[in-house]
Amino acid sequence: MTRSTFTLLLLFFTLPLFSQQDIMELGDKNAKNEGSVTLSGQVFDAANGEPIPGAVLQILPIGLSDVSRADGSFRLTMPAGKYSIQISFLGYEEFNAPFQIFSNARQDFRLQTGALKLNEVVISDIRADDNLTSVMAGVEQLSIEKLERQAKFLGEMDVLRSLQSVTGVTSAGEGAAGFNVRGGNTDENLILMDGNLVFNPVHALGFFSLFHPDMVQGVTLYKGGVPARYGGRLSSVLDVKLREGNDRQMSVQGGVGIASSRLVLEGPIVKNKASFIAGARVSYVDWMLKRTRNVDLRKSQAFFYDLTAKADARLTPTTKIGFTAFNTHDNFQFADEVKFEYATTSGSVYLRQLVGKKINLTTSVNAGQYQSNLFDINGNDQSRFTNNIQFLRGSLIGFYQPTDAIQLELGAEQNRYTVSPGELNPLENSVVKADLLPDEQAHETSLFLNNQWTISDNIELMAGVRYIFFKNLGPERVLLYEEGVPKTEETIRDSLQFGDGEETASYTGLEPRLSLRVRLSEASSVKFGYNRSYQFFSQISNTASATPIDIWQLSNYYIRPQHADNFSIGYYRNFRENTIQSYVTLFYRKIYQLIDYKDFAKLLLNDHIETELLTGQGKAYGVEMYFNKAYGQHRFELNYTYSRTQRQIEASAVQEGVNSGEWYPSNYDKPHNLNLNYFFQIKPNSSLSVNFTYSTGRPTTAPVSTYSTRNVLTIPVYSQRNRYRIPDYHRLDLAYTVGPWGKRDRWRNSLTFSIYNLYFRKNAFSVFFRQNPFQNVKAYRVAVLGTMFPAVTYDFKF
Amino acid sequence: MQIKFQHLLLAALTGLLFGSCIDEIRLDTGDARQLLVVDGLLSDSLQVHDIRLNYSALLGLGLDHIKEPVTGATVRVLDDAGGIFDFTETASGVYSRLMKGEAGKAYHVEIKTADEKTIRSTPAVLAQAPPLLPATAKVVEELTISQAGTSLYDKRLALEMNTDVSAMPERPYLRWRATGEYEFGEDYPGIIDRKICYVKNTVDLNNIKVFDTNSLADGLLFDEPLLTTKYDYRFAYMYCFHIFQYSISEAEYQYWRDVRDNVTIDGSLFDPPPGTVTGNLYNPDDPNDQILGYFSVAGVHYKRHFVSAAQLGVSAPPRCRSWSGQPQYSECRDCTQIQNSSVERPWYWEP
Repeated sequence: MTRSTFTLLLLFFTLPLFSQQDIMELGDKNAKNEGSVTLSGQVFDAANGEPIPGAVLQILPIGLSDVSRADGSFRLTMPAGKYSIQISFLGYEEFNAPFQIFSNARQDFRLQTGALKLNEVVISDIRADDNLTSVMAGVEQLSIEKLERQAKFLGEMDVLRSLQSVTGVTSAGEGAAGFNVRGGNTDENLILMDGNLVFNPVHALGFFSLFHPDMVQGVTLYKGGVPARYGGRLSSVLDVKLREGNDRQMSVQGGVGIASSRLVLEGPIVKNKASFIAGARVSYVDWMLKRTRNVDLRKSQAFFYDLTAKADARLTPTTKIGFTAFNTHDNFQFADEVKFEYATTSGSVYLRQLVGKKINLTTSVNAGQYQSNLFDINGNDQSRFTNNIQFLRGSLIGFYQPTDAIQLELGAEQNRYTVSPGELNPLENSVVKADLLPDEQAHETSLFLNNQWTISDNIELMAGVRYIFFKNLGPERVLLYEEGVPKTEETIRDSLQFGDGEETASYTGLEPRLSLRVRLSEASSVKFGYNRSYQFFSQISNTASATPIDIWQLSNYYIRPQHADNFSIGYYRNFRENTIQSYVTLFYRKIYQLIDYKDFAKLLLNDHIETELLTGQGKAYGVEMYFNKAYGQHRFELNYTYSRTQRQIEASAVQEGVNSGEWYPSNYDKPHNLNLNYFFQIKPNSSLSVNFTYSTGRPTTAPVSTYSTRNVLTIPVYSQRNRYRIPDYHRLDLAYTVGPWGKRDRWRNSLTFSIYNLYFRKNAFSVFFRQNPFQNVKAYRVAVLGTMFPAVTYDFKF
Repeated sequence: MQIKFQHLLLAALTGLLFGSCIDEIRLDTGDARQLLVVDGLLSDSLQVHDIRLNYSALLGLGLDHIKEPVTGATVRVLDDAGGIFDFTETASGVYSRLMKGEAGKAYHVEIKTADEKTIRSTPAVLAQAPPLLPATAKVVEELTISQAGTSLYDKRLALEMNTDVSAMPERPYLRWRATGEYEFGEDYPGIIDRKICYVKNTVDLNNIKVFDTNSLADGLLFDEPLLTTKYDYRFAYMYCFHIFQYSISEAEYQYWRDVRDNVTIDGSLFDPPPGTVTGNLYNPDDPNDQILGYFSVAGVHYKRHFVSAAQLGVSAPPRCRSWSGQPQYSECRDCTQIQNSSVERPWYWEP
């Protein structure tokens, strides 16, 4: 069937549907408006007339959407024409109506409480012109739609892998845990899942993220222009929202892949008032490994699971309560060489109340822990090293919208961290002595105020401030060192003992936040963003990339908080009535009190870790370019980032320098990054997506010469830190999806065939050097995924 | 068909996390320079002590294993009691002297090169080494799978160290080294005058074994792996391990740990980054002049450990078996063809 024949048939079958309903006519019929028009109004409860905040409004078929504000108001900008509006909110009947809009218009909607028909709702928080109208610069929103368009590794959609196709986001390589944003370290990203703090977002060495793909509603990444309600990390905020369960009837959804399977169950607790959604995911790579011929693989493990649950209930028309909890676990072992396990358990509760018509209050509490175990499984040293983080967070946020033009947010947040930095326990028949480092604890209190002010149709300003007060608390023994010389074990001269709860160190930080958007025309905007951020809790990692077993270190007597100033300016331009979006953004970041490491730093079970750390400054800068054709049968997304991230550790009387005090690249400095995504909706129930990615090889420290001792041992002499680079990275992926098929309100199926790394590129994760007896030293590259990976995944829903 | 699909599926899955591959690449590191290397050891054993001077070899020139010697230097060792011990150049870049260090004294080396560059080491006190307990040698089997899918057991000889430092007032830092020597018997059809050769064997190539006895709960260390080597014809008659236990300073212990970290990097996700290893040598006139190597001051305890297939109760067929119909090797007719071999029976050789 040709494309034109298909279009004609589609029109033939769909035109009668439109003709069966009356079309709402909005605006001035006589207006000759060929540009964009704005539909605004409010959403009310039909029974009591109360405004409904949080209702999702969608304009179909263009996928434009908005969420109603505290007073139920909304605003949608679209080209004049014929559409259908869909409004949905928990506990209310879904509203659907076709309309034609001629000019700017105001229309209110009233939702009925009661049963709804089951419908597949594509949830998207992204409006077609959101890139122009949103005040925040450097904010990326990923809807489920967009995530699903990416070619999937092993057939599974994944939030973190998709993030790496966003401008300014990179990773150290395949298998690296976490991601880097605009030259920041992996620990500089605040990661939240429905308000739950996440310290390690990955499974299986970073090949999967812990976010259950069938439960994710949407993802927002703040690379810049971070609102004042977020704090505690230098680089970015990744806010993952889970969707609410179906409050009308039970449904089941899942997928069976070759490495893991997943299942989601959802349904009403109290029909139309309260719902739940629960998901589980489990890998079965272990089972496969046991059946391989390779002995090392037979001894290996790669098991993970995660359980996620969420429940929401509307107590009254103006009060809503909910909780989210999750538990994840990973076991990893490779032969007799390395074994570790890690687990996260977290839960959060929120209560949201509408006070009057203009104030929305949200109270939330989150408690959880992250624990990792590293095993030494060889020889006499067999042991288990454990570290653990426990946290308790509470926040109260008030949202006040006195007028359409002003949205005020005022809040307070309290964090309490308890860190067990290390416990060593010998395993059976081990000669190792047990060891334990004392717990560390700290409080972090923040107050914040944020105002989003629409000054005019063309100018919008977001200004905020966050004030943080951090206290590190005893009991703790602080070692004192000789003054004017580097801190080493040999220069310890005394110690200070602090009692339980006694303050050992305190720091404050004032974080101004500013975003300004100036709309130059219907199709273009300029945005400026600035924010300062402090980080009091950092990952201490001295490996090529962060690992799940790295310890986290609180700011203390010696380790001052890192802080950063982030600047960005961007020009945003849309074409063809917002169906094509583009931007160019420049960013610059300066980092103070940046932490780096001495050569051969010993970070585990070290009660004087300050002797292994170096402090200096860092900078990151770059340009991000983006082009997206987001609608139609053929969709393209192209982004390119040029960025550098560098650091400088100067020698002084109290510390040694790195690379003679000169600027040197960070481990994840990859100047050129290019991502291309092409999506082809071949038929309504089949699609093809193609991803291509390219980046410069990351820096490495390489041996430049060797020497021998007694002709037995050949010792490599390494270059200055990160003096050279590993080869460039590039890869092509394909995915072909058939479906969904099946009866619309009953069983729905789809199959995804995917190929990762289509042309067998052996991308180097790292480079190392080896000398075979009586031969020259040679450089070798390690490719974590050095081949092509085909996969097939079956997804279902009923 | 079903089996084939299963294999493909397994291949894809197992490759998922463990399918890493390693292959050679070229990396341009052409702007490096040669550095001076000092390799010296002073022990409490009366023997000819060598201090070797050479330059590091630049990578990528195809001559990586050739070290350019530093000749014409003046080399001497000084102790903290005013003793000065001059070394003489006995071979190109090798400076030697028969002497014996004394436990409790601090020693350092002073070198002046032909181009008037001065190099010193930081003084280190010679610490007595604890006595070695008899080592443990055993044959272990490692399972491997052949290309055809057959399970194979590869026999290896494992040498393990035993030490008791419980009576020492200060727990020492230890370094172990081992060399080997084995008996090789000629055998060929019609053999008349059968020679026996004694072959020196390098067994701990690129093996760095140091141990901090402060980590021992009771000062007793048993079965600490030192090395493993293929269990083959070398053990058919008699094999002698020469084991050296050095009591080194904490600084030297740290040096060898750093060297080991650099040497054992294999590109994995969990590798700590390599770094610049700093030894105990410096140029007093130029603190930025990087001098490689280490001048070690250590007490030593030495022990021989003989093992043979007969003792271990695990057969190790000799290489030369005229009766077996196996292919004959040239060394089976003349064992002196083997590198580092001699027909002279060492005086310490056990019957």
